[in-house]
Amino acid sequence: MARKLKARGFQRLRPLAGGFDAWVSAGFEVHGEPAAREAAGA
Amino acid sequence: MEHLVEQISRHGLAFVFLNVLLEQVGLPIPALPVLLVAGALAAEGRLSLAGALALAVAASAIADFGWFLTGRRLGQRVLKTICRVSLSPESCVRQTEWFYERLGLASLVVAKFVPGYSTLAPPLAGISGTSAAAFLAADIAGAAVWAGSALAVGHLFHGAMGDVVAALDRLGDWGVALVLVGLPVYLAYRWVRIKQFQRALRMARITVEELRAMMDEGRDPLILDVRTPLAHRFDPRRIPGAIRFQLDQLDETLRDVPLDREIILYCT
Repeated sequence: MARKLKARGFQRLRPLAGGFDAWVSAGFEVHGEPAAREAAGA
Repeated sequence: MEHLVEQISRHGLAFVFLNVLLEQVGLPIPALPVLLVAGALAAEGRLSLAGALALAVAASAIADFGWFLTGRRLGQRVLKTICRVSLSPESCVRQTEWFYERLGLASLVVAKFVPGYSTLAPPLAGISGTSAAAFLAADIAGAAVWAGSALAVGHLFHGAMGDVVAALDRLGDWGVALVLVGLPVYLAYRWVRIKQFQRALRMARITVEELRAMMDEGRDPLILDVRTPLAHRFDPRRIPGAIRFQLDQLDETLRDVPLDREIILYCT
C-alpha cells in the first residue's frame, strides 16, 4: 500500500508503528462500536 | 522419481494420505507428484483410484479443518503468524484477506491451486465466522477438484510417466543445481529490495503516542485506515478522523490531497 502511494508521488508517508492494535492497547479513543463477538468477549 | 514410485507401490494409499496430510498441515512436502504417480499406478491396476481420491480428500479436509478451528479460536494472530515466513508479511495478510473478501467461500474451491493461499484460506474462513458445515462443504469440494484433477492427469497420461521419469533423470543434476542456485538468488534479491523499502518506511514510522500528540496539538494529519474490509468486519472501530481507504479508491479519495501532505497509514 505504502509503495503504491509512494509511486503516486506522496512522499510524506508515515506508517503507524504497531497499527490499530497498538492504538487500542495504548487506551486511546476509538470511534465506532466493537464487533459483536469481540464485545461479547469471544 | 523412481524412488517415489517405489514408495507409493510399497506403502499404497497410506503414503498418499500421509503425504497430503503433511502438505496441507503446512510442511514443505509437495503432494502433487505423489498424486500424479498414484493416478498412473491406478491406471495400471496397482492402486485404487477411488481410494486414493477419498483418502487425499479426507487428509486435506482433516488438516484444513484443524486450521479452520485454529483461525476461529485465535483470530487474526494466526494469519500474522503464518505470514511471518513470507518475504512481506504485511502484504501476505492483506492479499490473502483481499482474495477471500472478493471470492468468499468459493475461493476454497480454487485455493489449492494458488500457492500459499491453500494454507491461509482455512484459518481465514474460521476468522471470518464461517459455519463449520459451510466450510467443510466448500473445502471438500476444493480438495476433490484438486486431488481429482491431479489423479486424473496421472491416470490419463500413465503411459507417458516412464518418459517423464527419464526426462527428469536426464535433467538430473543440472536441473537440481539450477533450482538450488537460482531460487535462493531470486529470493535474496527480493528480500533485499523489500528490506530496503521497509527500512525507509521504518525511519518515517510514527508511534501511537506521537500521533496522539499530533492530534492534540491540532495538527491535521491525513489518517488512512488501510485495513481490509474483512479486518473491518472483525473490528469496525477506527482511530478518530481516520478515513477507510482501499487502493481502488486512490483517485477518488486522494484526488485533492497535496503530494506533500503528511499521511499516516495504519493497518491491524
